[in-house]
Amino acid sequence: MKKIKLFPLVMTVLSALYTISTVLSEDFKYQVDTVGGDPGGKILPLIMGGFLFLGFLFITIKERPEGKKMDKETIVLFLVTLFLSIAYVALIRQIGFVLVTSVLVYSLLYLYTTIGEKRSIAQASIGGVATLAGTVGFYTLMRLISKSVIRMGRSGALPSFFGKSTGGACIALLFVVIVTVVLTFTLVKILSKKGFNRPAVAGIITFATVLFLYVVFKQFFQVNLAPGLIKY
Amino acid sequence: MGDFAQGFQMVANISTLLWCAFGTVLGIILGALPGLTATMGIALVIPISYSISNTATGIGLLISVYCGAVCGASIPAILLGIPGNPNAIATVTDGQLMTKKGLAGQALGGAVIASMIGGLGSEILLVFFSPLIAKATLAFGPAEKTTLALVGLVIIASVSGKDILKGLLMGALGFVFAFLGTDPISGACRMPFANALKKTVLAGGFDMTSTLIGLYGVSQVFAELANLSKPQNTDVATNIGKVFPPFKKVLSMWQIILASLGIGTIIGAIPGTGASIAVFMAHDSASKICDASNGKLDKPGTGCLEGVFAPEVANNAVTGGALIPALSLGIPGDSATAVLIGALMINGVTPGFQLFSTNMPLVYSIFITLFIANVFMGVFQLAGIRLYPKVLLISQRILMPIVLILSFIGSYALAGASIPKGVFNVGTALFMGLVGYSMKKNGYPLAPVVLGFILGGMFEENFRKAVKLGAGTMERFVTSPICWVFTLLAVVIVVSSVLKNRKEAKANNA
Repeated sequence: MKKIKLFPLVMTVLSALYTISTVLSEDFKYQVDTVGGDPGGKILPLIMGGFLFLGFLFITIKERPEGKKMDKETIVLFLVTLFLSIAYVALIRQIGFVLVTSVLVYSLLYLYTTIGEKRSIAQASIGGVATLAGTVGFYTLMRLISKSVIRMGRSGALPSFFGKSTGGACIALLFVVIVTVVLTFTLVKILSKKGFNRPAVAGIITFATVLFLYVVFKQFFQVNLAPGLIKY
Repeated sequence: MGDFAQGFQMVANISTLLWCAFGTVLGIILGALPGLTATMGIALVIPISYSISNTATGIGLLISVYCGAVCGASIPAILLGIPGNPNAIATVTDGQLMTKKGLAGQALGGAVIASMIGGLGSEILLVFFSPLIAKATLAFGPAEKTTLALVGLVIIASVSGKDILKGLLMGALGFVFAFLGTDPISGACRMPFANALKKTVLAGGFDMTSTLIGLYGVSQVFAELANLSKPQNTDVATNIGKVFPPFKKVLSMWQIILASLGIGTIIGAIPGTGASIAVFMAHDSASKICDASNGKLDKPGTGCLEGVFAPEVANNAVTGGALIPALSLGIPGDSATAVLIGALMINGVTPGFQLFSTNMPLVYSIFITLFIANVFMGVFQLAGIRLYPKVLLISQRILMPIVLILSFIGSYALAGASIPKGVFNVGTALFMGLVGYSMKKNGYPLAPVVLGFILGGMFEENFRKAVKLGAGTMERFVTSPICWVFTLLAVVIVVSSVLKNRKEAKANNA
């Protein structure tokens, strides 16, 4: 039996389903159309659905797989990335932006930077827990500092600029930069010498990325990043 | 003059300058990193541009990323022999040879100056031609607009992949993505299985920005996974040497510069063609000019400045050229401008005649920010010429998780205060990322999907209006000579593309 390419086959099935569902749905003609002549909202979806179905069916019949397969390492990377991404979407609301982003970024960084090397689950786990604890700890400190600065700005103890959310965000950004630089030149160097290079690098990049994104999107752009378990 | 003054006022503030500076530097870095493209860069900063309250500043940020990324692609092309993106593909040969000769600095400096000339030169043509073309669209009614959208899609489909059928199918898929959600006229839910889905977040269809971010950002991460096991860059020529090429030498290349500027702008203005075609044409034209110069100019391909200047003038001239149909007709010149049009629409700006007739100050502000972006691009790339090569040492293994999280947070951020909508957007980005990855892997082009998605709403609305005006018939399409011209053009494009593919297939078999 001849092998069939999966992508056009899936697309053929999906376009068939789309066309059928469009046929079965009610028509969307403009209800208060006194003049008449509106072709309705089904016509173009039907034409496109039909074209997609016929086109993909033709390709499914015509094309054959080239036999180029992913290597084992790439399959592992693909599946882990996919799994973590799905978990990210599923859990961000419940667990919160800071925690779930830390887990995603750290895991991927550790996995990618250790390609071709022997991975240690113990080392990765210790690094992961330390990264999570460090990120949450510094996040708490950062929030404490920026909130205090805003309060002092509003009470007049500091210039009025600091009383605005932008002032607090600038202080938070400065905090993230300073802590990242200090940690890179102290803790990461020490840990790298002791053979913890990979988790240390993954950890510091995770910490910097998560807090930087938090400051930019939450504090500068006022995006409601899901707080989840960390409600402060 | 009053419109220009208003437009100038919109961008004459420190915030615009800072955002343009940020966008340019970000663009240069994104362009320099192989695997990251200008299109992806624009898609990733859409949420930021959307968050900026001044629309002109937001658009300035997007344009700066675009210009910076096109110019930044020359850095790896010259130093590593790998183009940062297809725009710099013709810079590789001469750039690499110059690096080997110890002239990396001059090649990099020359590329920046050439890019500035290309960008600014094409902007003059953009400022001159786009209002004229927009004015010509005054004669367009719903039927003409429908066929124009169709032609734009057919052009993109014919040039963005090897197989026109795949391109057309992707365009149709983009239309279907646009049709999902609410009917623009009756307001009814058009999701498949509407009864089950109409009370969910899916009822409104896919979010456009999350779709763009997914198709270009998330899909790139999955596509790059196969390359992560390959050795990463650990060695880059850091001995840059003298940066500025001799002034006399630059002046002696005036014919090459003018020819490349013309080629880049014209090719850029033809929807769907893009910089990768323009750079080879400019390179070829430079070779002919050098042959005719009686030895005064060095022949491209021998490791000379002429071979760097020609493609670099052309690829940045494409940016201004591609914006001509994008702003005046709403038809993009390449995939980057397709995303840019999407971004403009998200920012509440609909390209076309209406933009030119009702919001001319904004049009001027776009021209001004393009000028700022081109100047900043030159200044920042020259200033950091010894620094940017170090960016090339950043491993893809570190970059990809950051690109993934930026894609997620970018699509989330568009929802603002609504957490459920934000989560839905992240889900959309992930889904579209997987769709985009499957398309890339199977040789289906992404640009027609994006264009179909962007034009789908306009296409349907105008189609229905035209049929309604024809009392339920296609009369408006049949009686309009403009529709005939556009339809004929679409047919010619499809037929010539099919014939070209057959010819290529025969040549390959032989």
